[in-house]
Amino acid sequence: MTDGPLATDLPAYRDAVRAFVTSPALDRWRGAYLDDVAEEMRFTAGLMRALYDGGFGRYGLPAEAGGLGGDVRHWAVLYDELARADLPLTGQHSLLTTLAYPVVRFAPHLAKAYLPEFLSGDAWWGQGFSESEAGSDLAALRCRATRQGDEYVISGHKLWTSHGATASRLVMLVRTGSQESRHRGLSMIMVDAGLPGVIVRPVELASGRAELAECFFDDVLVPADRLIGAEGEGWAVAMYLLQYERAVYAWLRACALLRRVRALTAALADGPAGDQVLGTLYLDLVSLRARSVTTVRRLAAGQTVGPEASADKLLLGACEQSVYDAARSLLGAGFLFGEAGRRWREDWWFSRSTTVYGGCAEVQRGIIADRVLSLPRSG
Amino acid sequence: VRFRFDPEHDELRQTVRRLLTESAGALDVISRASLPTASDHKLAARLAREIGVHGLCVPERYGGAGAGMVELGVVCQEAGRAALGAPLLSPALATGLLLESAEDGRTGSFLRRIAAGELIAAAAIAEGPLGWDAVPTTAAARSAAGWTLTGTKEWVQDGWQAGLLVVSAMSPTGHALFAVEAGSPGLTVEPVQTIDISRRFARVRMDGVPAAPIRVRDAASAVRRARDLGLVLLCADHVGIAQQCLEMATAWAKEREQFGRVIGSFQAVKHKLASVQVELEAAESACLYALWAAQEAPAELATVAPIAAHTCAEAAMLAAGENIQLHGGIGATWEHPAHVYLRRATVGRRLLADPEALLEDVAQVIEDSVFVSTVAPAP
Repeated sequence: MTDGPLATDLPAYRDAVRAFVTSPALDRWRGAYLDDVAEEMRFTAGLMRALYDGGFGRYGLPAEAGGLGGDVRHWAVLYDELARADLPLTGQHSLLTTLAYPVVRFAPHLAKAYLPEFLSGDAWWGQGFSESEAGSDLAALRCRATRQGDEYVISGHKLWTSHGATASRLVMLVRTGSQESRHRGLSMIMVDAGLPGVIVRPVELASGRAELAECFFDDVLVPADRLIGAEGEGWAVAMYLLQYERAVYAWLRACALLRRVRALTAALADGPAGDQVLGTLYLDLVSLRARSVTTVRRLAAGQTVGPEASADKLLLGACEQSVYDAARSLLGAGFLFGEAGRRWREDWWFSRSTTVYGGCAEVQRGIIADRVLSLPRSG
Repeated sequence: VRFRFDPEHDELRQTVRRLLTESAGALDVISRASLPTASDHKLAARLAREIGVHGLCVPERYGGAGAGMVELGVVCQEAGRAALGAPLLSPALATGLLLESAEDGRTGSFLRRIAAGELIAAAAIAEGPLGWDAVPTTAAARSAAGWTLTGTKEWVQDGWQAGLLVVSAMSPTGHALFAVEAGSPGLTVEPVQTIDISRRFARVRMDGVPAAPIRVRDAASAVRRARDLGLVLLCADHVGIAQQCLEMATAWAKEREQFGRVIGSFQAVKHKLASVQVELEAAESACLYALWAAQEAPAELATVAPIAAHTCAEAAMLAAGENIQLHGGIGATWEHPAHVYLRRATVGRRLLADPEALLEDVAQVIEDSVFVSTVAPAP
């Protein structure tokens, strides 16, 4: 197991990726959009496979986990090039680049066994953190895992699991300590979605698309070696994971948004001028990228990304909404009516959740106020 | 390739900050509001001779430091923090224009004197409200005795103190640049009041003033490039303003008590400050990228400069406005330094370009060219 030839040469990686993603072999994914989320995931799994077989989808993760070496900047370059070639930033990627690293770091045996299937598109995992009573206040979560010999017995409920309906495994934050222990009594564990006692139901969003799911666990038996990190270490693992969400997921979304802005500009080519609106949008996106590139690089250099990255999260949420708000206002009737506006409408609805998921904007501002500006805690 | 501040930048920053803390600052600006110069001439001399600010971007063959925009940016950021009135931006713009010229004895001698801190140069480009983009109406005429200029230049920063003016004019062969020395016959320099009490501006009237041509290949492009460099330096100034205002407001929020608690513990106050922090972080990143591009990727400058300029100016306006609001009654008084920063940002944001026009420029570049380079090295 050794690193690939492009593990330390990002410019060469970019050139090679660009040549690959612009090749006709990938044309079937270019500009494509499927209405049904599950169908779309199966469709983009084919793109994951093509990227894996070409080798380009394996950089960024160590050879021990099925990768070809390199760091998170390889993902950033890949996303740039996918967006540039009008290829989808896949649901798989958005999950992979947040879930893979904590597994590599805290459960190398699981990374070795299962990450190759994720990288190749054969399967994908969901992230089971939130619950109905534990959203932005994640440390209030209740889903319980009780140790019994070599197994954990899991019982409880998870909500808002991205692509949970089609995921084959769930990376879950569960309570192994007392409810009062808050974040100290949590553990991270990988649960196969096919186990007896797991029931997954898709959740339709306001758009009508079922991106998310809710999961029920009725005394599900999970081997204890599926723990990611030690028992009680779940919060630390989650915070480790959060760095990747703030850095790499934000980069992925910025790329996806740039792709959509280009589509919007193209749709407006003959329409009324919206230069000020488009200019502002583009400005916000480039600012987000200028900010995010620093965070991505810090992560690549092994530095810890801390509470200051709540700024990245807030900038991203604002961009998500301003892109789709711009589409709504500039496309006019084309947004409101007909098939051509459907994708814009669905994305507009989804963008409403971007200032809520992953820690709502109000909580992010609180984190910046308390932990970056060191303001006194609210009485 | 640098995309960050290095230890030597931090050292420069500390040196400048120490000097400005001793001998400048917003309170000093208020006390000098009605004087013809906005800073102590001793301070201006120390900046010029001890730190050599005017020679930072001048090549070593003219006695300059041969450093670059990042270094000058460090100084401009400190200038923004201190609302510095001493000449800095205007000499940098004039120097940028002189450096566009093919090497000849006259420009070389100007550059040597500028670098040595012996000559204050100022750029005289704008006419009327049209900023730096307009075709000049100032006329250049040639006689046996040499060139003369006739016309009026507006918004000439530090025009009153300048020993040398770099003037754009229309000659019989088109757009051209000229050097005019202070005290030349037919030259009148009148101070002009603006809302900004931290900078000094002048109207320059020329009536057959003798002038020496500065030979450049394309004067309009030279002016445009100098403007873009100026926009980037203003970014640094605006980041300095935003940092200073956020620090003032945060410190005040931790100290001021109402309803029996410090006001910084109220969520409404926290979120205001956190929002400023988010915009500041976006501005810092955009500014650093623009400084880097100005130095290392000049081809990107024309696209990056307006984007960064808009982002940083808006951050400064927001921070300066919120600083006044959070200071309550005292923040709205003449004796309190808060208004100095709002004044400075208000002029800075449209000193070299109309912000609305910048937005429209930005809308013209929505494509791949400003995908912030991920390939730059990790810190």
